[in-house]
Amino acid sequence: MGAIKVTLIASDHQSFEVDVDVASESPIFRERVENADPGDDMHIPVPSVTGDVLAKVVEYCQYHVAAKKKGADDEASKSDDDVKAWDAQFVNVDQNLLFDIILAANYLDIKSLLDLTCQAVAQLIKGKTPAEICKTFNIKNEFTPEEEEEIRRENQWTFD
Amino acid sequence: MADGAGSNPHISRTGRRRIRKGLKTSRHFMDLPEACLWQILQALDAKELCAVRRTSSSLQHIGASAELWHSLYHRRFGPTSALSNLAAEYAGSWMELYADKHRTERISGGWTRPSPHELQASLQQLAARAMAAVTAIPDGGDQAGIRVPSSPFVKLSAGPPRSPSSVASTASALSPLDCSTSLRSAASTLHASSSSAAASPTASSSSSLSLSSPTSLGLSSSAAFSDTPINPLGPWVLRSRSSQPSSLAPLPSLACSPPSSPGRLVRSHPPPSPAADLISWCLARPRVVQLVYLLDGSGSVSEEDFSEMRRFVLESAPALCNLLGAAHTGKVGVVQFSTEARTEVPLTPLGQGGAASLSSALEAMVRINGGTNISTALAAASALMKADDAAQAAAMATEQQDSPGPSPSLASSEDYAPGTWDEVEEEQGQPHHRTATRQPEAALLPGCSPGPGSPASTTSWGFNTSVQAARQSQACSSRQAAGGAAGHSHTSHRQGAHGRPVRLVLLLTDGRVDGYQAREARTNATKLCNELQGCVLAAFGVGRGVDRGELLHIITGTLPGPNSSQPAGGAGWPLLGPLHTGGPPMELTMTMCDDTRPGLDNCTREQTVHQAPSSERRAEHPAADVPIPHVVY
Repeated sequence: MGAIKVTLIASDHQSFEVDVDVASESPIFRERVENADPGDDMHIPVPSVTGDVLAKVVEYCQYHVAAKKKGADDEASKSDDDVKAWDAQFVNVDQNLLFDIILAANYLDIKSLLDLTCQAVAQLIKGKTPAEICKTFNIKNEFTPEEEEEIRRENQWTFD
Repeated sequence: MADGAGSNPHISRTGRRRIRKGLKTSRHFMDLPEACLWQILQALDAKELCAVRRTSSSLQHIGASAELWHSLYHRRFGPTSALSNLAAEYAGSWMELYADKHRTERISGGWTRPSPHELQASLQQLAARAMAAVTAIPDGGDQAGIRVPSSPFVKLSAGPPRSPSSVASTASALSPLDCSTSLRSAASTLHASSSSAAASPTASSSSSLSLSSPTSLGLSSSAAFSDTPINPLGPWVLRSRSSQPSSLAPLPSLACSPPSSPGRLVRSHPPPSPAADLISWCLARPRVVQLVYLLDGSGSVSEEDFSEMRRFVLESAPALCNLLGAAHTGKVGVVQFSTEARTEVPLTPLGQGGAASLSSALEAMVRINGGTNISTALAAASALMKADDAAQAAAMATEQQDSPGPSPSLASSEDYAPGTWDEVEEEQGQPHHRTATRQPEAALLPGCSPGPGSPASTTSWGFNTSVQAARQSQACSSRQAAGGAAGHSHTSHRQGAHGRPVRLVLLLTDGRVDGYQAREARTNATKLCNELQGCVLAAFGVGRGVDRGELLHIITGTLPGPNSSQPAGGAGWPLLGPLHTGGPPMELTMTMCDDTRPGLDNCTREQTVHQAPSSERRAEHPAADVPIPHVVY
């Protein structure tokens, strides 16, 4: 028996046909699938996620579903290190896409993906000064000098 | 399973083509929902988090989240406890407590020592425990019993007040608004819990004395009296927290801070806490407060540790007296012990130069340098308190002889605090005249419950606005300070009750004792607590190599207390309120944990478990083999 397929349709109408267990990585999709009547064609619109982002999400889910299947088929099971390396590569994307994936993961409630991507953003922050952080994320510093001074003082202890 | 499905993604061709295509829209860091930002920030350490907070006001705000700092705190300092929850309240937020501890750790050079806020918190817990111990003393069985005149402290009768409708109406008449008003006006708001609530941790956490909820006030078996205090030493505000037990408490209450003031707790909207309620209630009734410090002057205590102990006494004594509502009248005694015990300072009121003489006495104190005989020290503490009781009783007997009527000198005796217990009973319809032979309350302070038979002026106190109450309290305090001359005038028509003395024995030691000494000490500890009901024994470990287990063992004793059925301490009540002890941060080399005294069994045991972690953090410093202080109750 072939795997049940689900078609995910992004906001820009790109469609992704995936195995049901891949889609089920998202509780949102899983619920839809579980509530579907037999014989329904499994088309799930994902209006808030664009195709390129959904593609990344699908890629992530597929990899991880596959990684979880221990030694299935002729593939060797993936080690934790493999998975970590793959994850690291996966989040090695530009900031915009990373943020989009965070939003999608948040929306689709895929916790591991959300953790991974948030961690990736945190990595971008680590070791940076406030000014560098502003620059990295293009954050406009709207503090007045007085406020700036006050908050600097408030946080001074961390730098003592 | 599906053939080949695992490895071969069925992404549509369109999808594949577009995967690597550039994005049309550009996302900004700040577009992320707060939950996501929060999750990102959660992955940072304290320093990085502070850096992020300096980038924008919304990040400043999110980065002050109590949850974030709570988890940072947890990561670095171990599990939080009732004590740390309270300390966080003192500090204003978890962030500030973190900073507080960070700084303390920085200067402590590997020693485990409490940060200033932790110390404040522990003192308040101690005060609460002492209060609870007093209010939990069970009825002697004879409701109408007349106390033995020669020693008003022997028979501490008076069961916990019931909560008849009169009390309930008092409680409900006191809207939360009254209280918040008074809080805002920076007057300490005092409100009372019934002792039944006080006596049972369960009751105090569930039926709670919540100021923020009229319903809970109305429904609970608590009597609430909003009054003002009596707080000569500083602008501290007792706050209280609504219903949650402390274990659930930390986050919600703190988490509410960021919206209006990122990173800081909004101190003007304190959540009610049962313990604060208890303290407040007790505060409204001035009482005898006896603090006895037992300082270990044995050879195993270094000179440095010894001076830490001195400082601890000097700083904690006023703080504790203040917390117990006896800033001037609280008596402090110091016993140094080694092989023998030596009374360095007999029980002396802190006011009127008492603090100064305490200070000079401590200065002049020379370390005995011998063994560690804790049991002798405990016996000495007991003797000190009994002697004080006797002196007290003698003074009162004289007064009674001298003046059959209202006795001005009663108040002038200054440490004697009338009007603590019977008012409640009276108000609750219990016999009025049980104490008829005793002298009137000379200095009925605001907060004494307005009983049906009490004068209008008294009655009004419970319902006063904070400003009025504050004025009255000032008046009362000054009356009290000035002696009984003025104090007796307006209360002379009431037959007062004796306040039970709040007794607190603080043992400062390195706890290095052998088995025999420990047994002796245990026996004496139990004896002390049995003889002097309501006596709370606490220990702080000082120095290196504190034998925490042994110390706990001594303090907790073995005999069940006379009132073990009425556990008096809530397991770590959240007690709130900034306390200004003044002075530099403590550097006492100690940490706290606590445990129970016989008689306060159940609940405090729990607390041991609950709080132990806070005392067990690190002793990485090889030399600092965890100086562990125990606040053992």
